[in-house]
Amino acid sequence: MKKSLKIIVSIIILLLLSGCFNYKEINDYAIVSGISIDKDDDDPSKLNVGIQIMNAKKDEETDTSLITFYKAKGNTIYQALEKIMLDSPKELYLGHNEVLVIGEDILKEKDPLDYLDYFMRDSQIEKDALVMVATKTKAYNILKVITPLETIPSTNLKSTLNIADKFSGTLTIVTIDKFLSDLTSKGAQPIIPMVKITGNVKQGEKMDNITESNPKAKLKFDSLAYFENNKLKGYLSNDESTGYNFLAKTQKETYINVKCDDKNYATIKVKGAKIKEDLSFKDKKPLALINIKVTADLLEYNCSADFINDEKKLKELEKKSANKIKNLVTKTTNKLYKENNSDVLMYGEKFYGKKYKQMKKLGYDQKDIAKTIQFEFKTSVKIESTELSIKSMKGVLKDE
Amino acid sequence: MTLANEREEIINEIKEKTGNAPDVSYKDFPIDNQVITLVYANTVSSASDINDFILRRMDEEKNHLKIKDLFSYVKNYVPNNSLKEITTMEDALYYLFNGFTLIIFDNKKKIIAFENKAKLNSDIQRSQNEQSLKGPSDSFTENYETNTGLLRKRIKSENLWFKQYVLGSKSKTKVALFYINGVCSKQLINDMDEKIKNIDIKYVGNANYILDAISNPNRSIFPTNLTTERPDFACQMLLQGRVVLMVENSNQVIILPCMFIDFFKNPDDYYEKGLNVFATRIVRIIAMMLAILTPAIYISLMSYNLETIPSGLLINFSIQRDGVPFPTVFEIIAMSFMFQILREGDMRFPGKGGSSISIVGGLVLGQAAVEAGIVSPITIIIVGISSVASLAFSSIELVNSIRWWQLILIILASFFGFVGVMFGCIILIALLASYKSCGKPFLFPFEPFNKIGQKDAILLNKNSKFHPQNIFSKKEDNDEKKS
Repeated sequence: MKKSLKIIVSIIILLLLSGCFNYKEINDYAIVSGISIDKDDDDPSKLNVGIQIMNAKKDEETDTSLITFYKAKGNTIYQALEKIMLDSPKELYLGHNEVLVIGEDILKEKDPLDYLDYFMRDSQIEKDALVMVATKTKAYNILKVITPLETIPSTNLKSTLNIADKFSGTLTIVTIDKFLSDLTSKGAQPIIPMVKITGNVKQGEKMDNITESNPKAKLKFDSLAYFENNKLKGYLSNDESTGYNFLAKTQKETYINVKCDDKNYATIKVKGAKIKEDLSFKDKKPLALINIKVTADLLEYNCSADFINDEKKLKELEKKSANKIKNLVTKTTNKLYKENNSDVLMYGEKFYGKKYKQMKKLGYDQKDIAKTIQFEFKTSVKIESTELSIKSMKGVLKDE
Repeated sequence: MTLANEREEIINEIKEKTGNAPDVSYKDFPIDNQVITLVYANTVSSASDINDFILRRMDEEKNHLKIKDLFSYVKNYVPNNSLKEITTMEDALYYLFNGFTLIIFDNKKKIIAFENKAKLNSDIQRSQNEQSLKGPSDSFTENYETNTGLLRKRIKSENLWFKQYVLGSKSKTKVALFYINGVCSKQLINDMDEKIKNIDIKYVGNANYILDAISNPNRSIFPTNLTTERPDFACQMLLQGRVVLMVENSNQVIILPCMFIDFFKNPDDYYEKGLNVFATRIVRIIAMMLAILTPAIYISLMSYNLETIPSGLLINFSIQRDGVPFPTVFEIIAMSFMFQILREGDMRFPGKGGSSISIVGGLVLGQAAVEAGIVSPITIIIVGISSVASLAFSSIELVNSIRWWQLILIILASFFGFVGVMFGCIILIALLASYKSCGKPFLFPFEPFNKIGQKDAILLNKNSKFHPQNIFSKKEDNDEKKS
């Protein structure tokens, strides 16, 4: 009896000793859903960090904002966050951060490794948050725009980008994790989507923005931004972005428009692409032979054709779209590798991994092999289905 | 203690031993020059039976009695199905209070006892605690003979054997150990037999009295025996090689040995399709996990691992918790406690009070508490889930033990978060694995793994339904044969 009493007492003391090591009630936290980083206008050496907090209030009325925005300066990110914490009545909780928006100007001038260490080091912070660059505006402005369909800006950015990644070939999602590992990798450069505001920024901050059918300010994702030497170099065009997604194997569903006769266009939906890379050295120069096999469905065909009786038209379309894809990827590699030295497709790393011996023999370095790579493409398209109709609308007319 | 020679002496002795009990009647019946005395306890014997079958018969036959030997005539010609010849005072008293009529003769040193039991039992009724949807609805009664009959009615084979004991130095209660000869392991029967014989108690009120006396001081919170009031379930269990312990005056029988998985079985399972039973049993297992784990997981999520909650849900939780002044742990423990009080009140309050309890419970403690900002709605949902899930079991003892583990895990979760919950679960499984029921491991068909046992564990195999397997003794019996 005495012994069991001792055990019980010691268990109780043990429980109390732990002091609830990490105990926190949910209402003590302010949930941060978006972070923005900008260069400070007054003092260029400082960072201007903005955070967007989701309001957790009962009985909210429709005309109050669902978010609150705080902004502070600091030499490091945490210094700025600390200042914000002095203003906010609750402790900041970064575990559910959804987006990290970085200003264009700071990315162009500074290596992100100079200030992003906090995102790698802190155990609480969400590493799956999406990274994006704010073009032609300050990053914190992006976090302020309230749009009708999704009233929380960061959630809006995240879901828009996720949808765009699924249904359009021009965008891709990049998490903080991926961004940082690309930055630290020797033979690779990061690529991140860009976001901009169309319309009036000041109007976008107000709740009125969501009551109009055509909002005064909207957020718009356009294309991808590429880096050189860890600094933002420029933006890819839409075509080049599509080409990038093909080569990076991140494309999920892409639409390709080609002319089917002199005036009219056809659209095919790319369902899947198989990419075979053959890396070799030709005349002591690195050569990447890339074979892209695409399967697709016919989505639109505005010329006259009868696909059952006349296979030629379909073959012609396949050939044309194959050329178009070839065109897209060539544009991309020209832009990234010939005009700039931005190895976002990580061919430097691939050569380093697969052709290490030859590379060393010929005296190439992992870092500068990328700009000497020659690209050759072979593309083929197979249209598997013409969907509901075996003829085009114009083809039907002719029969009657 | 042998009987005295003189009739008067015997009567006096009975009077002395029973403290001259007012309900014991002594009726002298003169025949010729002799007198015999009828002694019976009128509270437990049927007066009309005594009048019709003993007194009238002897009155009619008075003339014959003159001629013949009185003792052998009473013994042979008074019709009765249960006649005893008694030679000791202990037996005499035992039968007297068991509803027998004693007939005392002069100079014989023997007493004849006729059975005239009064019906003091309720009739066979519908099962109250284990309701039947498809199966037979009769249930055991307080009458020992009826209960035995209910088993015999279902298993007419001569192999339904039972051993009978009289336990309780004061209550003298009949206890029977039923088993199927050839199916049940001999070792199990011998063990039980020995244990029951060694029981030393004064009063046997219910089947559970025996159980507490047999089993060593059992520290397990979980019950290690199965009680049922349905004869059909008892039969099914008998055919699987288990023993059934029946106690006089108790409408529940005990099934031994009992495994953890047996609590997820229901008598009605055997009347349904195996596949449907499989689904039902999985539901019950999930209900058990929900009942034990939900509050603990909720606390560790809310207090330690916010990052595992999806963002949208987190915001909802945060909005709901807004303005609640108490910590989550306090909310959960307070609401669980209120639920336990409600449940206890609902069970114990007689008759029509139940509905008022549910009104107060549902409206006042649920809705009003949320509106007053004392607890958050999500807490009510969590406590609701775990409480409802714990009520999916008919064994009240199991429900009570679930309640303990709920509390243990809540405390661990509130101090250590998920680490504590995992620790608690490991301890729980280790404890369950360490329990034994009649020497059989508690987690039997799974740990140790047994192929035959699997046929009626989570799955209910059709073959196992029609030809119940002897899941306990096969191996041992084989070993016995070898050695």
